[in-house]
Amino acid sequence: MSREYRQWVVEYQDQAWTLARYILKDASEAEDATQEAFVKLWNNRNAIDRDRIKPWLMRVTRNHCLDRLRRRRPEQEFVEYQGVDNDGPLRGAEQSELGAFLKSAIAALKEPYRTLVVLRDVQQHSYEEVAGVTELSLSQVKVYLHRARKQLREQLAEVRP
Amino acid sequence: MTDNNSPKNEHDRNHREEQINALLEGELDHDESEALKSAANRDQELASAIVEAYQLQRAMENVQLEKAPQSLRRRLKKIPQQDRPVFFQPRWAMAFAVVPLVIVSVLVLRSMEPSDIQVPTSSTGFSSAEMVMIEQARADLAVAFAYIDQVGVSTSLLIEAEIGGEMSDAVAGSIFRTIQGKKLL
Amino acid sequence: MKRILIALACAFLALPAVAQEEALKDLPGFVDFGEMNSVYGEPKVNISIGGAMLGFVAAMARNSNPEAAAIFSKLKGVRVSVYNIEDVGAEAALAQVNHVKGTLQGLNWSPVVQVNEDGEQIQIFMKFDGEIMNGLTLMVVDEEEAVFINVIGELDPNKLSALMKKFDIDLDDALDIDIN
Repeated sequence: MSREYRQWVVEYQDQAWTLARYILKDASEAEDATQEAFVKLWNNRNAIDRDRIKPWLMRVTRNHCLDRLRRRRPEQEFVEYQGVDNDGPLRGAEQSELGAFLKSAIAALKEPYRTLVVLRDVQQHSYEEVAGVTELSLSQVKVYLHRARKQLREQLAEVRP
Repeated sequence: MTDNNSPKNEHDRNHREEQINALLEGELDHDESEALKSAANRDQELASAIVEAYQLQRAMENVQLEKAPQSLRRRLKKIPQQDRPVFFQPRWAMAFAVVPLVIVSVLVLRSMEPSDIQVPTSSTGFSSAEMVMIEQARADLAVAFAYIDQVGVSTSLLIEAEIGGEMSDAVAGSIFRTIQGKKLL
Repeated sequence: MKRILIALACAFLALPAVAQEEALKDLPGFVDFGEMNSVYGEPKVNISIGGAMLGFVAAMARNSNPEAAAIFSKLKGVRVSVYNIEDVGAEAALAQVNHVKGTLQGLNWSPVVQVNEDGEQIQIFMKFDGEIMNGLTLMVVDEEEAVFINVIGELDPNKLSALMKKFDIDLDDALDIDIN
């Protein structure tokens, strides 16, 4: 059983971390939220359908992140949005200035748009998986994704020559 | 006068966005995508939106998964260990050899700080190559004992997974009895 | 005197790994793990440290941790080989572990831990001379790696136990090495 868990850690830790990082921005909080999600995975490992581990884990990760966001003071979210940390997903490992700008733009999206873009466009989850993670219907996922992408396109258009 | 915010225009805009995203996702059949492209030829705004959508899709390729930091990776690996009953922590079940050996090595390796080195520095007679070899030995030992430690931890986890919490006490007990038979503890 | 010892240790360490291994083979706690390079290629970790350098390492720690240094100074050899087996598969490594296990049992090594799971195995053996342990062998095979560890030298578990109680170290943070 622990070997199976180790395999889940290897396969999904980067995805869970990336999602937490985009939602929370703060690296330390993102670590805590990711760990909480994996603790839940370990505690519930016997009850989860093996084919649904990934979306289950991403949903739990997201929920833990949203709980933390709700506990933040309202102005804290705004301050952190403004002072977006350039470590983590926003670090200078990106290929170009464009990538850097895009990462900031994604991080600045409101929920659930931010999660939808991270899951679908960054992590390539299927629409069904995204729906499972966000607990939205398939049609809601598509509509919200359209809106999120439109926002990003408009921001991108402003900076492109 | 046209009301750009009218429900009909809003509906049209939403439909257009759906079509554009469907085009990018490859969900339109040949006829549908040709129809959309023809419409774009007549509608500059639509054409710009399609171009921007493709640009966004390509730009997304620059946005990659972030590798989880080492601190988090360690924390996630340790999660199963937090479940273990105290009597089955490695230092008790493996007390006879593996764990103390690792402790000893940790103490010794940590003691090899530059200030603790009693030998003359390279400036007073030892070559840089010799100092490099000493440092290499230290690094090799650290790796060696990290593997030994991991074996000890892995063993505990596997035994518990196989036997379960209730029996692990008996296993640990039997190991102790064996050791006590040799007057080791 | 210390300078001579250090020079000797460094000279010893400069010997090729094969020569160092040869020097350990006559010790009672030495284990021959056989040859697997032909199956898995060069090991990704291959460590062989002899008594001279171990004694030097212990000497350097004597001031700050005399008990630990005294225990460490009794070690004669530390050998670790780690192979990546994911591409080729675990069969050859498992077969080698079984072969070594049979050999050790014939040489009166005591099996301490034997864990078998599908495709994964852990074997830990100890060699005793009276009440003192003079060899420790760990063999681990899982889906990704085959790990072979042999620690040679006198290990007095009473002293180890006493030291362990004195220094309550959190092993999980003890060695800041990520070997994954």
